Amino acid sequence: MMTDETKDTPTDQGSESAEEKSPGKPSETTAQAGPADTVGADVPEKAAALPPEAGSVLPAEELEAKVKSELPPDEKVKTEAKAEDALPGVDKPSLTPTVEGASEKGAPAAPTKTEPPSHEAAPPRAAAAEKPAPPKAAPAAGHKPTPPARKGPVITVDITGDALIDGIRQRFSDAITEAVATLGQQNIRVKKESLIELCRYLHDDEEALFDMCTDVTAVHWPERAGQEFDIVILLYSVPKNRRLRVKASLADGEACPSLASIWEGANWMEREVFDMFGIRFEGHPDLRRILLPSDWPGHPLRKEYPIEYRDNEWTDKHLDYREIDFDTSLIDVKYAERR
Amino acid sequence: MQEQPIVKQETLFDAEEMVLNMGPQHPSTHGVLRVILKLDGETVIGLDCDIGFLHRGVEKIGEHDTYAMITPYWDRLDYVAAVSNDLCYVEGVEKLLQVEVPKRAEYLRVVLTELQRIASHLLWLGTHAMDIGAVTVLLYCFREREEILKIFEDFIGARLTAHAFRIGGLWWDAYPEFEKRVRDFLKILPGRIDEYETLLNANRIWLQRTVGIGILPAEEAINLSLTGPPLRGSGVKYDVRKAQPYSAYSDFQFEIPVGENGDTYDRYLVRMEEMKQSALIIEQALDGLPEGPVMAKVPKLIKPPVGDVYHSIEAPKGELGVYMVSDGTGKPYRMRIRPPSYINLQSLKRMSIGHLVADVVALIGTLDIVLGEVDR
Repeated sequence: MMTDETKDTPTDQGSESAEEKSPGKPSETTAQAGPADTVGADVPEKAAALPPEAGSVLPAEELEAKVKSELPPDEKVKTEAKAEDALPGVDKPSLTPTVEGASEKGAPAAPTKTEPPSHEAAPPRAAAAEKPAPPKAAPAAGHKPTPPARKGPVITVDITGDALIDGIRQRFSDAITEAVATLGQQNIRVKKESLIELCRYLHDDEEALFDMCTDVTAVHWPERAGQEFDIVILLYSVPKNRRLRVKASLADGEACPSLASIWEGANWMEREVFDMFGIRFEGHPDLRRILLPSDWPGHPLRKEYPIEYRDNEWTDKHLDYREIDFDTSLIDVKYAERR
Repeated sequence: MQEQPIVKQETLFDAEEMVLNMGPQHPSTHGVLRVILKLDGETVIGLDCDIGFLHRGVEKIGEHDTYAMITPYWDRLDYVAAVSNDLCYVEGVEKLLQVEVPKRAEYLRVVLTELQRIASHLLWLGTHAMDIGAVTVLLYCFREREEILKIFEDFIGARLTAHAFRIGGLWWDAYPEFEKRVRDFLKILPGRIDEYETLLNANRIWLQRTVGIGILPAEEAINLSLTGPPLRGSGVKYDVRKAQPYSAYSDFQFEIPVGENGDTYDRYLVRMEEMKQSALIIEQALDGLPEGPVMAKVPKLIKPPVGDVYHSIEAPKGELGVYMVSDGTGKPYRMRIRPPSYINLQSLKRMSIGHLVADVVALIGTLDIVLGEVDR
């Protein structure tokens, strides 16, 4: 994917996927003629000057036509430009992050697998009704039809008859919006307001005793208006050898209570969620970026942050970039002089 | 750029606090780790880790590549123990797909993973001992590690970041001399481990540098989400291979070594014993290796059903986990890596305060962090 698209200038990338957040910054840098800009910017002109045999800077269509003309007729040409060779699950290979059903305009194109927004148990059944089981639908790749004995696509079921979950449901009643088991792994969804109370209960209660917080992470569902983020907390109980997933939904910009007071190990986990998603944690002792530099703009794991994004501003500011003149004719002259 | 606090002082000798930068370029930080130390003389009174120098955005890539394409990225997380990383991810996808891996493949996976555990612990021992001062041990350990890497090269094709496992099993079956070579290696291993123990176990300098350093009681260790040998060194008997068995581990008999005091010496003993237990597991796996295929029937395009799954394994560094959210397409919707080194590194601050600067080096070594996993 890199070879055909490297001639796209950073400005093209930036303006294509420019949202109101940080990826809009590259359009500012085009105003300043920084050294990093000129590196990419003058390649298209050189492409016209070089003979086609130079090879490396042909536009995609010309290259494809050239290759096609050279190959025997029955050979299929595999390039990124052809949509029918793309993976059946994806509409087209694109550089902007594709979310099933979500587009740049924000309107979900087809019924998504994640509707209705706050409910995870319903969509698998809806999806099963709409299309045949996904694991069996891969004929385009030439797969022989001998699928292994596999259950259908519905792998999420409601939890019944579990003492711990019943106890939680009894105590927190309508704060628990959902308690399902996916492939045997229990997860409960709780409203954000009761999250910290539920976590304290899970940590302290004799029946629960979840003393280890395995992980705190987040998932971004941009098409779920009003509940864009899922905070996922993975818990483990050492004495009871039992796992549990707790999920809470947040709107974009909403803060989440910090669990670092209950489980100290959640400290860095929450810092990383803040770093990657921009979700603030109230009550966190030291909320700042951890993996990215402290003045990095944007939050990369959000779905609208492009995967191919070349940052010029931060690197120009911090890295000592010097343009070195690799003028070959000059080197030849010097070599001749030395001889 | 982080701003360093400026200590106002009349003369150098009036200062009570000094901020020292143990920068990303440092032979003892095992990678690009920056530790900012607040010192009172030589005693550490504050510590902060600045990480992210090796951040490569693997979780973001995990949303843009297909399930099969992502597997090699997992090798590069903990590049010291690459083969076991693959196991975590591949088993997670197999869990979602509900694919059953053939028995022969599972046993071979166990053999490779346990060999990798021994290799990872050997590298840990070599570098940890070298940081503390016992430089001899480094090259001794690398001699054994070389044997394992040669076995890997002949089986998988690469020594270090070998894309060993595929979703559904293994790509190739074991080559004919594989079993003999592994057994030959297992014959010499106990003697070599005895060599290391002779050098270090009762060594007065080693004891003074490791006993009582970085004591972490069990409840605090659990609260800090510590996993792996650091947790077991504190006395908590939690090993994912026994607690939530995966692959073929429930077929084998092995012990989980546990420490008593939670200091660096106990963590060292735990890892030495783990190497011996791994050798036992490999022998049992080779003895019981069944015949059969090594690859299950998996569709060419992997499209798991909608849902989310968390799967974890006992990597040499701790509990390595993957939390995967699938939306039914060929690419994961969210792939979260639960990195043991990152989470274990949190406890460095808690362990170092009150100790000397030289102990910080020992503690970074005893946590056994690999920056590829810390930063991803």
